[in-house]
Amino acid sequence: MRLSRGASIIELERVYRADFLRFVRVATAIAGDEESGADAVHDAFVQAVRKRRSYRAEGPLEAWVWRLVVNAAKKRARPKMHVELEETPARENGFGDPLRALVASLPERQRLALFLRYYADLDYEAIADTLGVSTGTVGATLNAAHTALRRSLEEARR
Amino acid sequence: MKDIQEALDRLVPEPTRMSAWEGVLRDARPRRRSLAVQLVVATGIAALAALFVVAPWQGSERVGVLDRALAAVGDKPVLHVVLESPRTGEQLVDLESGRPVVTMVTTEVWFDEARGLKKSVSRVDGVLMDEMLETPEGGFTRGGVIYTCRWIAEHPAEAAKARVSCPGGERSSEPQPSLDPALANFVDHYRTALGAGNARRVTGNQVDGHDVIWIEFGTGRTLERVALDKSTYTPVLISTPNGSVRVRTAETMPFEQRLFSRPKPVERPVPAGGSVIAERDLENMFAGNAILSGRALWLGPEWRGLRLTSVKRQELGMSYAPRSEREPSRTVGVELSYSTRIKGATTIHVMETLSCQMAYAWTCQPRDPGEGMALLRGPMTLVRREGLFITILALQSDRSAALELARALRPVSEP
Repeated sequence: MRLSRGASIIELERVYRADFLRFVRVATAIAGDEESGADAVHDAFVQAVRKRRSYRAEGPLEAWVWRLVVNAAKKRARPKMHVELEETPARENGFGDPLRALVASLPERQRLALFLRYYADLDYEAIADTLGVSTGTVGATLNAAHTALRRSLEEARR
Repeated sequence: MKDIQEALDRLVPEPTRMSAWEGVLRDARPRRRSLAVQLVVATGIAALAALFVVAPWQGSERVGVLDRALAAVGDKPVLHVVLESPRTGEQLVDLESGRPVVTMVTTEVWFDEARGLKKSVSRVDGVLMDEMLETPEGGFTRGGVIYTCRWIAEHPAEAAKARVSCPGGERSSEPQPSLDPALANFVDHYRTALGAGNARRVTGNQVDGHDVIWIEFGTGRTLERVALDKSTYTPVLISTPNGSVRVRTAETMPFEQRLFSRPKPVERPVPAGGSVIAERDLENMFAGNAILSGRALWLGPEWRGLRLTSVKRQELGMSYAPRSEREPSRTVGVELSYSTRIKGATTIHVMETLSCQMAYAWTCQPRDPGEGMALLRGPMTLVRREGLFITILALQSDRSAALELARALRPVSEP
């Protein structure tokens, strides 16, 4: 019989304190602004504390928390993000808001993989645990996102 | 990838503002139902109305006292309490002078209700006695993990290594509370009672000539009376069914992980139990003296009408906690019995060893008496003399007689 391990409040607090800024950064990227991102992280940890006994230790605790953060941030994502971004004038640096618009237009899995890779510095395995996909899928997804982004950056520089 | 990294960095800069974990814990608490809130508000209004109608001056004072008492403790997440009381149940005495030595037991507790953490440290005259950390995941002492059925179920491999199991059901190996129930009640409920307005002001005397305000909270077996300093409103004394306990400190502080660190393991394994494994009669006291390397003490062949009726060689065993991985130890002791040879008459037993033995009622911890001291514990007197660990069992003797007996012990070689 497999025992439900559960997560302790202390373990959750450790994850919170260790990775809070990374959580907020990823959540901000998903939700659209820092305030919503911070709220999403808060929501996710409130949920984590409440549901801690349901954590089954089948993967790392961090991955379980990351899933909660990503889902909470998706709930708080601004529905009109794409429209607002298009209405905002591009910055002089050449890849400010066009990049934002491009990132926003990427398929969701590519965006999330990108955020988790670059903002949270997660390795492929951790991203796979968080998104519930295989490590190979993470590699392919990131590769597709890189290609699309690089093309966009090159066009912006011309 | 560097170009992508730089671009994404510009898109979402690194955040710099941390949020307090306490906010998460606060919001994670179960939400009250609106009906309950309405009921509480209605009850509160009714109670306030009743106070003003029945005794407005008492009502306003009562609210003020509880508010100030709560403010005096503070509102940070960790309650830190230092309690002090004289050692009860046993008396340490200077053997030569018979002067009692007052030993103070200090208990320091850090309690974080939201995190479910409690750390308690007990000292006797400053010497560390017990240390315990209670967490939602289980308890820890200086001996390591407190084995509970839950812990055993969750750590089967470690439990097997430690040779512990849970045959008696869930309740058989739950950790014992680290604190006296009355003190635990104070630590757990004082702030809550003040905050909820469930404490009451009651009449009471001064404490050491100082003006205090007495309040009480709880009911029945959990009734707790606390004296507050009249000028600072901090608690100074707790009245419990077992006596009074001084409150040296009652404050709150921010949460820090180090406050709830696991107890440091004891350097030497603490004995878990001891017993007399076997015994046999010796011919005389000289044989007993030889067993104790010529250092045995006795009362002579006769003492105040009591005759030395037996000298026994006893084989003593002492076991240690399984996690210590120390094998049980064995040694020998000598038991002398003095009696009138009349059934039911006065009998005195004197037990001696060259090392601390639980079989002879020593705890083998710092609470045991030092050289030249006697510890009176019920009918038993524990004495350290000439490097010997001596236990005197005198059922019919009072305290002074027990001390006299302890002083009368002399080397076997002396006339």
